[in-house]
Amino acid sequence: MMTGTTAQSCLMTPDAAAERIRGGEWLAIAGDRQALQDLPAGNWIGGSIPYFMGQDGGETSREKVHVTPLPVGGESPVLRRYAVGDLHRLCMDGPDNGYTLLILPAMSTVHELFSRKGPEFEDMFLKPLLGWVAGFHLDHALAPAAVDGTRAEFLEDMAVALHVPLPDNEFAEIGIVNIFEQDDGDVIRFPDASFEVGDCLINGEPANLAHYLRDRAVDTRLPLVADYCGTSLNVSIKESRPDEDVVSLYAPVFPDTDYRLARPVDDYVGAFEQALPPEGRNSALTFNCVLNYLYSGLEGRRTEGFDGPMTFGEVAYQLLNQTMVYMAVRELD
Amino acid sequence: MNERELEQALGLSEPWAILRAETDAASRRVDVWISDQPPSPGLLQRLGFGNRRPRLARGDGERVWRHCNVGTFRCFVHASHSPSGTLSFLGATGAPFTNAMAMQISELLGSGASYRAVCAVLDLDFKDVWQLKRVGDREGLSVARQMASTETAAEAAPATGVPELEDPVWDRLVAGDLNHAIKALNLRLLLSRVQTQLRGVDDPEMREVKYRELRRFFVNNERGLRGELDRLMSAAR
Repeated sequence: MMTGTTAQSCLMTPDAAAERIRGGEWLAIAGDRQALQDLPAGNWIGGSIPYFMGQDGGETSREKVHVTPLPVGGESPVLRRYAVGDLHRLCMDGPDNGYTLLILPAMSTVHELFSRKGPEFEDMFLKPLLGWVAGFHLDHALAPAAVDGTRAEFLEDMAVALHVPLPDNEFAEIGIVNIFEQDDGDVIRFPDASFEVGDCLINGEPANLAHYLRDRAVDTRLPLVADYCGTSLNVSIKESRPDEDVVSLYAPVFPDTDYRLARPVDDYVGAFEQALPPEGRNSALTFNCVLNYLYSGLEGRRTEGFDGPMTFGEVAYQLLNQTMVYMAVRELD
Repeated sequence: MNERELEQALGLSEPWAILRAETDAASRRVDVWISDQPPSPGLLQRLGFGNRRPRLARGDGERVWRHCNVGTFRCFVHASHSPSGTLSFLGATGAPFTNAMAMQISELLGSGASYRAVCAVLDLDFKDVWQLKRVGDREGLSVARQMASTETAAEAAPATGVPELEDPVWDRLVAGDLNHAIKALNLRLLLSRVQTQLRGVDDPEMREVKYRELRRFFVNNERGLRGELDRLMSAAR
């Protein structure tokens, strides 16, 4: 049996959010940095982002905040801040039974470290870990921030994580919905874990990715996709600069991994709703990618079964792009 | 930093000198080509940093060793011919690390750090550290003993219904035979990492370390992933 709290998860004014905070429940709050600025300290974790899938559909708002009550029920959740020096402890600090919600400020050193080294952290994959990357309005850039709501403090170069224990009869499961899959094209390999790539091997032959994308007039809204034992994980292309031999990415590629460009998707909303599994529908905690929001024109359109922030990167154990992440809490027999 | 200062930082001394250095800030990597042959004037003019991206292709007979990190950058030392005994930090032909780096790894392991922690902190590849361990096994160094004891300690776990390491389910899981039966995202990601690490590796001891890692995953998640494990066991039969 699944339990969830999405019925109470929605966009609201900062005043309404402040009222919820004063009620004492544990909350995850996403909003433009200015909208979060006046929220009181309390039991909440947050991050800056002004793009949402709200109760009325896709919405860009610098005034509203998205509030999600968090599943709790065991011992008290613990909020911790992580700098570069102790981020490697993230998974070890997680509860034996429960989950960890992580928020990373975009373009920060912790973001970069988690992206490249997260898969190697001690206890990674052993305990449920999900989260998102805080960002900004693309036309009104304010520094991205994770928010330690217990002190109402904005952190631009530290991550915040809420470690939430669950009762013994409950179990958190994390899943993803990725409508992209590998196309049948060339296999691309990279020499290092990096956000910025150029030299690579394409079908085993030395090549330059920026030149490859230019020569084939590739639609760079399509991500690079790798297959992880049947799960497709994306790395989105930020910018290709063939004159500099460089392609910038929104997440790092990894060595010893086969990438292919994604197969084009004509109808994002239709494909998404078809791909959303029952356990992901109206689940306790969800986020989606701002690139899906922008590339698929989701503003004003509704994706049934999902509401939450549209973020600068999603975390389902490791950093993902152009992917919806959800967490469902299952009751054990 | 000029080439002379970089030579000092790397521990180079005459007759060895840097021919060329290339940095890649995006992947935090510096590649340094060294030689004990007098460089031509043309080569001298090419000294120093500036190029952003290291070459993928190696020259004829060129060997590469991972050296101690330079700040937050991983450092790779390239040499085009077999090193003489005058440069103590270069590793043996075929070794993944320079001697200086091997010593650093050994000291960390000797102080009680797990091999995973060492790989994470120094940004090392698991297979390379394992190769160092194998050398240690042959030569009676402390690295091998330390790694083995760390792994054994990590395995300690309460009574469980998860199959023992000898069960064929682990072989089939790592071989990819059961990928179709796996539903849990975290297991797929973990297994993918293990399969990559064990690709082309026949060393039974190294495989056992990774099997322990997989088994620990199931022990830790036994209640929630009981169905997953039952499905895998059924598929393995």
